[in-house]
Amino acid sequence: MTSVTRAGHLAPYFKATSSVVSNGLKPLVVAHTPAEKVLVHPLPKTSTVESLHGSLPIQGLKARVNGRGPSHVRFAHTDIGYPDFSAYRRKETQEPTAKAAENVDGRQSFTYLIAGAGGVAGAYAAKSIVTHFVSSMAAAADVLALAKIEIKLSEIPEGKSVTFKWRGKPLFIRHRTENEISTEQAVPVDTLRDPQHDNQRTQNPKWLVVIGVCTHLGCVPVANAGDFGGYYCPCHGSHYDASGRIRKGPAPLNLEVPPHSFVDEGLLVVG
Amino acid sequence: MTRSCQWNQLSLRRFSIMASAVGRICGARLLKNYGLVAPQVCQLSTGAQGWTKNRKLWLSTVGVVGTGVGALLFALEQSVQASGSEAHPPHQPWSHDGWFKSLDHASVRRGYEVYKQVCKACHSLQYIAFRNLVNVTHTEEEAKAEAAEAMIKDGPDEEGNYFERPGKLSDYLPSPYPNENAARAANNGAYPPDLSLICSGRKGGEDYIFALLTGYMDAPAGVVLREGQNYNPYFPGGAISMAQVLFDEAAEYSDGTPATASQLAKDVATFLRWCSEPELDDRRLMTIKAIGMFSMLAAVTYYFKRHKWSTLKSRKLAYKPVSKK
Amino acid sequence: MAIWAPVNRAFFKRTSTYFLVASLCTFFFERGVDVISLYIFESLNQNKLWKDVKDRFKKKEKVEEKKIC
Repeated sequence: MTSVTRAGHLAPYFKATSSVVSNGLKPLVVAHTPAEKVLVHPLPKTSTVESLHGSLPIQGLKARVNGRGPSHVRFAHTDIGYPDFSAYRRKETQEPTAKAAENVDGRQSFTYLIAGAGGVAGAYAAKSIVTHFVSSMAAAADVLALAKIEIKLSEIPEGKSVTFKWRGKPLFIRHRTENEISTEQAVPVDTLRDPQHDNQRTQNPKWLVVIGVCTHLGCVPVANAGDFGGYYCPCHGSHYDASGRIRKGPAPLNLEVPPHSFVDEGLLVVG
Repeated sequence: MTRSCQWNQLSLRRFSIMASAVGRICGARLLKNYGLVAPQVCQLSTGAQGWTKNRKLWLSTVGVVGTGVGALLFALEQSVQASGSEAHPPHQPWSHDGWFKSLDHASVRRGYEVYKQVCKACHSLQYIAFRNLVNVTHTEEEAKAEAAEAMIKDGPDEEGNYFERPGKLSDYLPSPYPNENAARAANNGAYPPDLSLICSGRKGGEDYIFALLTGYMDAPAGVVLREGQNYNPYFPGGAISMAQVLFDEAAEYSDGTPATASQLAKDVATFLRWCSEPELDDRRLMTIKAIGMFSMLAAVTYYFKRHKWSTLKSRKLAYKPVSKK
Repeated sequence: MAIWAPVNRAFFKRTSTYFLVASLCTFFFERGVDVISLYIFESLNQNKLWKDVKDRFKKKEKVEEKKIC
């Protein structure tokens, strides 16, 4: 019953397979020996692989019934019947004459296919779980709703700078006059501390959109003041022109221009 | 004879190895290898013969205590339900009842119109923003128009004053009263609750709201109401400070649905269910996905269990208990 | 089983190709599951979702505008 079934080509005809396992148990019956007569103890009778090997009827086993009849060896002298395992065997191998090599591709592929389907479904589930957790770190919907503001430009008269609040910072929107536009366009770029042409800072020359935070130490500049007619920071005396560029004073950089776009006539979206 | 005995030992040993492997997989110590024949024989069966006295005692105590606690909780819950004198709201056939049923958005939209025309006078809806209405009850333009109608308090401005401005999509629905004390003062000391989560916050949910709004009646003999109170059998205690507000034609629908009192109540209850659970539709969609995915994974798991266990399952084990003699 | 042999050899035998095929299939599978479940959801809830309903409220407004004109 044990090693017999290892013969590969016979495998389909055996109903059960198993392998020899050494048990290391002591024999159940210990030989009683009178102590005073025997000087050398006999070797204990152990059931190791080696000791059992000799008693197994594996040598010279031959299938005499040319593969058709029962070739298994029964050790249990009982009436234990062989169970029917056909529920656990694949359809292709039920027939004893079928060759395993002919249908191995189908059997393996099917199992691989099922495993692949499980892997794909698992990957989908894992991905959706991960994206759920990762997206919980993203900005909340109420924060995102405040990230963009819409400004109706018709409410801002020409020559005026209006302050809005955007992402917690003051936002200056300046409706420039023709005069201011032509002055700012004419300023030579190489004379500036932070050289930027007016066209680089505005999408529509009529409108200047800048964040009202002085680049020196973060004060809020005053509109329509200073030597250059733009903004003037009262804290340390930085002068910005009507394009928000630094012209005089300690600030190192021009006023920041936030991302903005003119959606249609008279509507500006900042953010 | 010796050969048969040895084989018996061998098969027993093999069985015990298999059993301990199974035990390791299952985390169960029931099949632990004790190295002796008798316990192994016991553990072949799934009955409780092999259990120790302590284990039996422990498990039966857990069972008895668990059942008792469960029964007590159930009884307490039931008794609370039975103790009140209020009427139980009958269950209505809501269109969003069921595993896969979304909200009826036309009803939600009409419910918003009812809230705006009727409820808003006293009840706030402070956790719903105008942006939440977009693509649920309103298109973006409509929601912007709704927001612009409302005046939102904002500030402080450059001079430090608070001011009112037309609303934007990011604003929350304005409350009728500045704070709870003002609300109580205006309503005979009763506070009109915020309606954002009322559907989840009241036993019976939308059934309760529908029953309450349509259930006003004259007080039966013996019930004394204070001034400004009304009788409603569905309200705990029966005396409610809110007067009946929903009558036929109490509000006007923009889609031309006849505005009967029960239609108004049904729509506003559906709207309040959406306010409490704006994610309801997503959840219903998720149910469909989860059922599909889990049934697929269950089929794969079933196939693989059989695949991996086939070597164990198609194995015959024979043993013969060794007699002590 | 002639169909299976090339499939088995091409995609399943080698672990690297097996994983590659599985991860490629995941993209299509994800899209498929999303589309199919959305289709089921929408067909079960016809005339209840906002995309079906919004015209009812829109048309009314347009009619009113025309009346005003």
